[in-house]
Amino acid sequence: MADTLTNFFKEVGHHNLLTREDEARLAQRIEAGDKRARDIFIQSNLRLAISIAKRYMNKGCSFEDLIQESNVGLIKAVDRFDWRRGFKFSTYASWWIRQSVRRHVTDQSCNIRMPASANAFYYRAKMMIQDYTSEFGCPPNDDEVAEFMGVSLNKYLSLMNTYRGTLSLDSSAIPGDGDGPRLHETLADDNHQDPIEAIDREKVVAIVRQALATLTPREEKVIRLRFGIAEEPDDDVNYPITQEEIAVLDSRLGGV
Amino acid sequence: MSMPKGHKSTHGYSTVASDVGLGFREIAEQMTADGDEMNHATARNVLLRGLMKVSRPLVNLHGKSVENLDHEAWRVASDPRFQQAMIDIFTDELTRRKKQ
Repeated sequence: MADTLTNFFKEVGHHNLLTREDEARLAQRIEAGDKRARDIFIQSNLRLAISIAKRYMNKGCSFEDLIQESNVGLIKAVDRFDWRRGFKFSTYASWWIRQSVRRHVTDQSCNIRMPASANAFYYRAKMMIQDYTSEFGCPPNDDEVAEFMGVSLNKYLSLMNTYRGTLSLDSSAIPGDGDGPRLHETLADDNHQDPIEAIDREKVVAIVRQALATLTPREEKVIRLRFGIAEEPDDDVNYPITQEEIAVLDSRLGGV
Repeated sequence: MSMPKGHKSTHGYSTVASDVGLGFREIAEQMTADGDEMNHATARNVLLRGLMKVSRPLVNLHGKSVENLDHEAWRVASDPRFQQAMIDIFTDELTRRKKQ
């Protein structure tokens, strides 16, 4: 791939840069439907596309892809360039190229695709933080950035948190240690009960069980009534009537 | 023993009743009707005494010194958070015991 790129750079270097007059003349020919003029216009500006692509090299995308995307932006700019306005082509094209590359970077650099408005918000916030830091010598706090961006603090924090990046569970838990434990080996399973906690709970239940065995019938009855632990009135298998209860019932009936 | 100032506002009253449980006066009436005569204060004392039988070994388990054991056990037994936590265990255990 490196050879292909080198060849491409060599090829690009063979095309001369265009003057303002060349640009206007070629643009007129393109308007007239001259495809050859369009090719020359594009080839002569490939250097501009590459230079813009280079600025986005460390954003998680391959350089080849960045060049492809910047070329797409360049072609779009050539097709829409209006020579009558009198601007230099590079002024007009750099916006299209940058837009194309930036869109590719935001789409590809993260595993989770974010909406374009969220991406724009993130970049604006980042630029604001950079400007503030260079002006005042310290970064702004979250409240200040949220106020500047015109959103609530909660919304700002949640948007910024979505850009914290992703990690592979198979990556090394210790950065730089390729043979060390994997990240997934070091993460706690929230669905699994902590063994120490389980032992503690078992101990507590055993103690409660023992303690409940020492309750007098009176205490047990009051606890049942207080906490609504009812005996089923019709369940004479699980809750058989005791001799004392029969005696109480007899005495009540005798009184009637 | 009086409750520390502010205790009730942060912890609630010293005993809790579940949604289907009875108040102490109702418990006293029920117990009296069943032949065990008592008033509401006695009902509360009987409940706390029963709960202390559970809280004492739990306090002991967590390494409280023996001289404070009874006081600490009483304090834990009368704590509504403890009682709330015990309701589920009591329900399981008392039902299980009856079934055995």
